[in-house]
Amino acid sequence: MPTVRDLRDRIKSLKNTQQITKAMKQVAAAKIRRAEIAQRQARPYAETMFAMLHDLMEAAGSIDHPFLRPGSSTAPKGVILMTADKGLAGAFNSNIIRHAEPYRSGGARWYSVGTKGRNATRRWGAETPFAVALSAGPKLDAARQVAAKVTDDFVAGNISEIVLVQSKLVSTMTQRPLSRTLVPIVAEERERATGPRAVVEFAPSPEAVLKLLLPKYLEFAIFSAMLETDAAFYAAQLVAMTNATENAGKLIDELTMQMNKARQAAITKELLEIVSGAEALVG
Amino acid sequence: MPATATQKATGKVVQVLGNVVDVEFTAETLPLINTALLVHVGSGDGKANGQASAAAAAGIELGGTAMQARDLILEVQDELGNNQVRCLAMGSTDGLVRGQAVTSTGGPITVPVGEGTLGRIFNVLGKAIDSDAPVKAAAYWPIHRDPPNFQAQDPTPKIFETGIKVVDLMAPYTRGGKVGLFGGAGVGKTVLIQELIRNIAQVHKGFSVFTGVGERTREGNDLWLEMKESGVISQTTLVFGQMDEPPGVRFRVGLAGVTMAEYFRDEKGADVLLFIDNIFRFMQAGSEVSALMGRMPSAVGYQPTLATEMGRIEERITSTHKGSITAVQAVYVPADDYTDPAVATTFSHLDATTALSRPISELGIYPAVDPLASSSRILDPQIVGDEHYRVARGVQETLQRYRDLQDIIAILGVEELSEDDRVAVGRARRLQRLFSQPFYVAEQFTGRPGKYVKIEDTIASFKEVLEGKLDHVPEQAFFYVGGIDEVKAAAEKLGVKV
Repeated sequence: MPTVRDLRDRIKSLKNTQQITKAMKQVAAAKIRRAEIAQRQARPYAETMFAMLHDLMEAAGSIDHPFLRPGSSTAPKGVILMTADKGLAGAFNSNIIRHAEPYRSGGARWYSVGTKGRNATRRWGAETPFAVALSAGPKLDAARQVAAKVTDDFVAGNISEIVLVQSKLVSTMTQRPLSRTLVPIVAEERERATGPRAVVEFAPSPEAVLKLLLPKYLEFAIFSAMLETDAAFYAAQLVAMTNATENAGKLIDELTMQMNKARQAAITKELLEIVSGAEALVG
Repeated sequence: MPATATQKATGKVVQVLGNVVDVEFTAETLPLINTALLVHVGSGDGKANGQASAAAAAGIELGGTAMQARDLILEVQDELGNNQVRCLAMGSTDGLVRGQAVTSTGGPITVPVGEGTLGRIFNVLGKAIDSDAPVKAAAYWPIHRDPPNFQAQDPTPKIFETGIKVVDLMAPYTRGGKVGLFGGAGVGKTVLIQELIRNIAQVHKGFSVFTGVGERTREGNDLWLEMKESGVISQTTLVFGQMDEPPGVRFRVGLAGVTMAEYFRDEKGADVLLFIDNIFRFMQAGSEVSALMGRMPSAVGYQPTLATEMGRIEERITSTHKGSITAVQAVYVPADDYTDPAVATTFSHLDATTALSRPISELGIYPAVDPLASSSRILDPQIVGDEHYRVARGVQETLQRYRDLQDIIAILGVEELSEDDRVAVGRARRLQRLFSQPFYVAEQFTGRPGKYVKIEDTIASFKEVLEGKLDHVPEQAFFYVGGIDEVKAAAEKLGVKV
């Protein structure tokens, strides 16, 4: 039976833990707002660019760009594994990693954005030719670096396609891992935009603009995925920390009850001993 | 004063206080401490100034039939002075009256010993209680005897296989050693002891003595029927002083059992098994007796002579050059508090302890042995061998890691753990489940046939789990199986390739 002191120590340590989780919950709540704003602000640009890309590809007809050709069939897939840098967000990171795991069997080449993803690939024994942190420094720079690296490898024929594994922010309560192929750009993805569109003239030629725009498309796809994963991470952290704070509270309540009982038992025992000792002396 | 002098001494009852009776003798006939005195209760002794005779004299009909005449044995505990002795009754004192004549038997309580006692059930006074058939005793030995001296003791530790995985691996028993089964109410001490009897007595095929001290009478009956069925009864002597008996009986019945076992050890040179269920009741009876005798209570209300009383019985259960007594004792832990003085005193006498824990029984894992709280003196590479030692320590480490992480898991969830820790937790949970084992004696409750697992199989099984070879096998495949082969078979049934 644990003593009062053991229980008091445990309660104390649990209270410290609870304080941390409570603080992290508040931090996550503040950060998620900022991350969502960043994501929202990037959206018009992304939409416009993807619409333009679509128009261009229609206008250009058949053009020759590595991104539109199937990659080298013998090379492994290139997977950009996008996770958070930190934990304490429940199953957030492990869900993404588990989602990426099927690619392992094909002997994929890993590019990791986010420290947790890099750790996972390292644990698998796979080499990570390229890794950046998700939230160190400006995201756009990181996205450009990743894009440049995968483009080089794709063009060089080191990888057959570029797959992005990220987290999708469905709502604050739900984040779902998501994987999609970015390159080569396949036909059905070109069908995306619908509705009336303005007829745009491209100068000097649609092909020239497209060649400039395609790398930008990759960069921006990665960048917006980073923003979304970031926002999803804070959402997951908010939920996880709320739960953790509650769980810690429950444990504290339970242990406090146990401690009170132990204390009362000790008091009763001592009283009994004093009283019976006194009785014995009298009798 | 020599015992012969008190041979036919008679005295009379001067005070009856529950189970404590004061008897007056003369200065010449005063009996020694531990002498058994005989008194005939309900005899309607004309000289007795009892209630019954007084009522009869007044012509008052006391309701119901007259109390049946019977013999009552009193054991001398204290010399009070004024030629009075304070005695403890080995039976009900109902109907005992002041002035009643008491005869000294001239010696302590004796019990029959020898092969003639096998297959029979006795009470504390050595009377057969299973049938009226006469007991062909080799001799009658007094229940108070001295423990073997230093030179007679034989301390070579050797492992004693029980066929129970968690016991053999984590807290192996010593041949000729003392083992305690600790546990609170209803965690399965008696079931475990019964399984041990079944496994050991059947495999071991030696003499065994079972002593029921202050436990349920029903369990004694169950045990007897079961032993008859399995045939073990012909090698077993049973002694009972259960819950319904007065404290004097429960206080002395343990000694009676030990005496019977000692005969087989000392005279037959046999390796004897002694089961005591439950040694705590012995201490409890001692505490009741102590209070009745008017001694000042000590810590937690126990008798001040707690350690002495325990030492007197425990030191007799030991191995000598002639033979050995391997003792398995159940120890009830009041309120699951291991610091209770009675429990703590018992601990120090034991070679191995098997602790049963409530949180484990709440997980549905039976036997609910706590592998971290159980220990054995012989879990040492020089005695059990290197591999056994390493596997046992590895299991302990893994389980300890799991226990340390439990708070984190409770707060943050298992996902927050590092990959290594998550693997350790998975393994620990599998190890925990592998410790469960179907029992022969529980077959009728669980519907699963019992399993006896050899010690080598146990070590090999746990080694495989520790090495991570079965990390992919679902946890439920580890529930209530024997060795690792059955885990694999269960896994295959669940559709997992091993």
